[in-house]
Amino acid sequence: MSEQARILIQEFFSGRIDRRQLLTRAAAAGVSVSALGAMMTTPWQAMGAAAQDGGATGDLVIAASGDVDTLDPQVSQLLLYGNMLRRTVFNTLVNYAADLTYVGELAESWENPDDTTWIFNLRPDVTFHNGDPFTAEDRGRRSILLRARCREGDSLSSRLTNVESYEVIDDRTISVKLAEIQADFLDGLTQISIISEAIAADIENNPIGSGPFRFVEWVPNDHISLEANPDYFIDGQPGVATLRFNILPEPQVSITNLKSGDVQGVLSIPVTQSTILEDDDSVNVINVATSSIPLFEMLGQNNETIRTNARVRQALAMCLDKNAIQQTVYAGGGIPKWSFVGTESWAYNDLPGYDYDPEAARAILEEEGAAGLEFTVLSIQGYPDGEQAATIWQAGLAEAGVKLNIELQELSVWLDNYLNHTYDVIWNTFPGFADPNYFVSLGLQPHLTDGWTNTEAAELAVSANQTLDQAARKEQYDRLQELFVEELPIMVIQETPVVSVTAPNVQNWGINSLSWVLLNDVTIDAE
Amino acid sequence: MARFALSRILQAIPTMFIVSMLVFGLIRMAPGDPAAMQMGREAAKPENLPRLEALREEMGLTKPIPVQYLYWIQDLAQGDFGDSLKNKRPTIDLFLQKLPATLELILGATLFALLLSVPLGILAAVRRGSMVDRVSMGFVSAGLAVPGFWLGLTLILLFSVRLKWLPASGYVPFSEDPIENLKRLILPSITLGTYLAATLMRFLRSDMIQVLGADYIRTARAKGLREKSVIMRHAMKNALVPVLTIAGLEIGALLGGAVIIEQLFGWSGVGWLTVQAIFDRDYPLVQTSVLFVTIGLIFVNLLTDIAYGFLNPRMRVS
Repeated sequence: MSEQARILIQEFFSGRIDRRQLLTRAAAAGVSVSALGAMMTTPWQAMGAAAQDGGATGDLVIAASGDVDTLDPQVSQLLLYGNMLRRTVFNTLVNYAADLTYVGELAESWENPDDTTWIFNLRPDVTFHNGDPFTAEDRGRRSILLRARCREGDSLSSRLTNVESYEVIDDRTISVKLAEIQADFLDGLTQISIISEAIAADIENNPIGSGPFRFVEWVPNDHISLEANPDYFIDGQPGVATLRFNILPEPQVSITNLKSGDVQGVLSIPVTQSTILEDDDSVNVINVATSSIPLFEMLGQNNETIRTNARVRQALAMCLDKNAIQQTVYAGGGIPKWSFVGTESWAYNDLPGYDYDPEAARAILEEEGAAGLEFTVLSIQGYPDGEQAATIWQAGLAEAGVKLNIELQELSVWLDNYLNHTYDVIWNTFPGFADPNYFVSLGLQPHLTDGWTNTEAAELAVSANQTLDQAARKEQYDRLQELFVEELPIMVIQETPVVSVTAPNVQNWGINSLSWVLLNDVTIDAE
Repeated sequence: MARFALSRILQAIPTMFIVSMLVFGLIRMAPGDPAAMQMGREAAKPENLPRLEALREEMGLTKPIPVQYLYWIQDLAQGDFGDSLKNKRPTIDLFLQKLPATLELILGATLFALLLSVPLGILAAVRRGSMVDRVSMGFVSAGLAVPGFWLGLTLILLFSVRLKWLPASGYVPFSEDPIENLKRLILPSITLGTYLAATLMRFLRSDMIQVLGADYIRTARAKGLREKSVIMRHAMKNALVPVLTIAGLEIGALLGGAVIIEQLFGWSGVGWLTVQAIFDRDYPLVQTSVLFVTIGLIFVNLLTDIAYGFLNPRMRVS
């Protein structure tokens, strides 16, 4: 693997070049497609390690738009938690490569001798931050996964509920038996942080992992401080000696802090704010396309017409000007689409969906006896893209004779309505995901058990995750996406970009297509 | 004076009870579920409904509200303010951790407001129609009209981004680094104190103009007292009484304004903590914060009353 290929791959995944530029520049540099392909399956960590040749130096201060809710990695589901703690302080058995295939992190390799058995071979050179060695058996517990296994009420416990038993084969090998076939088992493991048994009971106060950074301090609503772990098992990581996250909720304030030098990076800012920074030499804008999807959920209990009539939902979809949303709300970034699966995913089915045509929509609504329909979209305060998308939809609907009301709700109120399905239509957003079952279980299943009465879809949603062969899975997801777009229980708007901003001397800042900001390789050039 | 203070403290007890009941009841009646907030997206999975229920039970949310209130009062009597539903830490620790930052900010803003408004307000009244008066009144108009958020951002852009004189944000405890603490206090204090300064200046000027036209001032001048003595010893003391009322009332408003200023300057204090707790439906933390803020406001009102007595002996007697 050449140095040129490595640099190109890093530029691609940090958003500095797109896929076409990657291939063109690779060809110009004499880098073969096979070399690029090989590097695409290399974990981010290893790529960063190759980039490093010195120790961790420099203090990196980053502005984060919000605080974490807890220090416990098995409880928090916040994207911010992942960026600030999960991937800095902790490791997982399995992680994603740059192309979102699975690579070992604490597991060196794995095999599944039968459909429900997974055997993991563990890394030998790992110690936790408190000095405890990482082994298959820890202080009399049967397996490391028991340590990771969440308590009953923990948010992430459902990822391991299918585990029937664990068996420690030797100090470096563990076998996991599942109750039934689960195609996304490895995907779930990317979210399960491995912790030391010694601190398991106190993890809420003392987050000890084995990651490239050690936890130093959390002052709620103020900052989180980390320091480099000198014993980290990947040479060259981390790239900075200390990492601090300052909690600054207002994007404009984060930007002024960046310009004043108080912080050297901002985790994320709204896309529309990034456009005014693009010509500013004092900052580096990193804009990456991700598979995050904003959407409108259509099967609320409050509007019988929309909930029960797929043709009405199709007519409403014809009034959504996705190009206008892409240009206005996302500054031309991202990819409009209709499927819930990421456009880069092996499971993506590129379906044409519905052209913007309010006149045709009006005709359909009249045929269905829904002329003059009026409904309300609930969106969340503090998420301007929801309100903006609804406003653009409102204009299209007005042309078809439909009146749309927009109601902004505080997050906790919105969540109540979302969980109870007490809405006409609700705006929502899902972070990027690698395995389609993430969305199927969280986004679709609640409707399949409530408003979306489609037996075939319900069966596919289950069977696709009980099929290990990827080609066979794709066939099932292809059909599920067809049904999804045809009957529109949920109307996906588009994939959205994520934007970070850094000082010019900050290098190797990565964002992957799941919207994860990757900080373990970041270095600061001496000015 | 001691008896007066004691009676005011005793009067405050029922007030605190009423406030605590209102806050306890209202936040629980507001839509929003702390258990769902904690589980987030996972709460949407149909198979997770029993876990959501179990979490509600664990948080003590399934009992009737009056029963929950009695439990809370019982715990309070034992000095237990409860743990935050969000991050499981004792709410009193979280509150006390943030309190110094907010007190410092309010003190800084009040000092800035007084140092600016008292001399300028008096000068504007004494030299009515002069350039000083016009500039002061210009400041009053601008100070009342300019939104704090805009003023703060402008100050950051000028003093932090362009001139690089002061840090843009962040709180450093005084005990850790006094110089850094004071440097970081300047911009938030000016931002928060500007509205108060403008308000006080307007009242002080108009009160001073009224007092300067009073008979006893004319008498003082007729006695041959120097103008400085007339203003400082006779006029100012009376003009300050209504200003004190305004200042006392405005402390509560400062606390409200502090929420925005704290977010703007990354000055992690009680205001931001409380607002975040309300958004998260973190009931115990909201209750602890509001209880202590209420005690604080009652204390400020008490101090204001005592200061009245100091400035005006007739009020002390009544």
